[in-house]
Amino acid sequence: MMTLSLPSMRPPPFIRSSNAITEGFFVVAAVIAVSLVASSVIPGVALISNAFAGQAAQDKNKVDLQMTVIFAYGVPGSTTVDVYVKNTGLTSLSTPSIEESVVFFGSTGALHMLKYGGNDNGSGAGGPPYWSFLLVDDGSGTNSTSTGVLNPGQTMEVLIATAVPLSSGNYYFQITTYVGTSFDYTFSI
Amino acid sequence: MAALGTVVAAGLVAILLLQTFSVYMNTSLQVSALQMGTANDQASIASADINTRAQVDSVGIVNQTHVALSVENTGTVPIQATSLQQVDVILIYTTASNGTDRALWMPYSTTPSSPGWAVVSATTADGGPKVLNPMNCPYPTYGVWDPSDVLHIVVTLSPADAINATDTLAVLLATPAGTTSLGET
Repeated sequence: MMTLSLPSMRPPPFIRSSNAITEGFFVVAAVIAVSLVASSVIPGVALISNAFAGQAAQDKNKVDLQMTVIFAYGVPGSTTVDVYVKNTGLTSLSTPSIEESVVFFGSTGALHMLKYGGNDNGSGAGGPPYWSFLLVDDGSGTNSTSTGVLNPGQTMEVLIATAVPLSSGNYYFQITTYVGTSFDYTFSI
Repeated sequence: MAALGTVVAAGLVAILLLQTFSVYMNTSLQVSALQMGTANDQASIASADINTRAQVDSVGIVNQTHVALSVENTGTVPIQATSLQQVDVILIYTTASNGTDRALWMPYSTTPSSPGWAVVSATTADGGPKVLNPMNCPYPTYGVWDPSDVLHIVVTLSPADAINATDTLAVLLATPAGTTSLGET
């Protein structure tokens, strides 16, 4: 004949022990404290880290966006100057990005920031002086502006319209891209 | 049992530290990768700028709508035939129609007779045929413009842009890296 032995029905020790209750409070307090610290420290660290990452990305953009002014041409008495600017960097520039550029032009001691004149012969800019551009090289050699992008290795023609006819002397041209990098060129007419 | 709270608290603090360290390390690695990429790009651009050179050896007016020039690769790096379209050729001349001075950027041409510049042949420095990396001239689609090799180029203008052949003409040539060379008749 089999006999069954039941386990003892004693309550768990921590229910009975005041030490265990203290430990329980300690655990809860630790969880709350760590949660509070985590919720403030981790986002802070992430914020600082992201700021560094953003700065590094911005530095990379500046390095990759390089231009070289290869030639500028104007004749005395004329009111136009052609400047040829080549994308010698590693990133492409869209037409809207180029329009965000800042252009300075003028003779020594008479340097002016020019308005962007768009493709309407400067009427939108209120007339000369202004600058506009033409993507003379879309990479296919067809002198087309169809792509609307200045890819690495390609060249654009910056057209400057002056308010007064050019006279002989030294002239300075500077273009600053939307990321803040500047490229300049000095030439004489 | 008495140490349970301490153990749990220590564990949580360890998790917090690990998580913070993980966030920091993750971004640090991203920043390092970006910085290495930036340095690499900077070196690449600087290297192209230093090592890519070309020199216009001769310029000749063939007639009012054609100009011939010879250009030597004086740099230390080869230029692929497929990159020739990134070379700029600008003519500075007096027009035949009204005698005004002008500069004209010429597109790279891959077909005869259309306005633009085209490579008609490529030779070694002494004028011999290219044995190494030959180009399928005229209008090359493969091959390499090696250092010291000479490209023979013909620039074709439209009749509306005709040259005053009795006046001086200058040619500015820019390499894909933006380095320039000027030649005159």
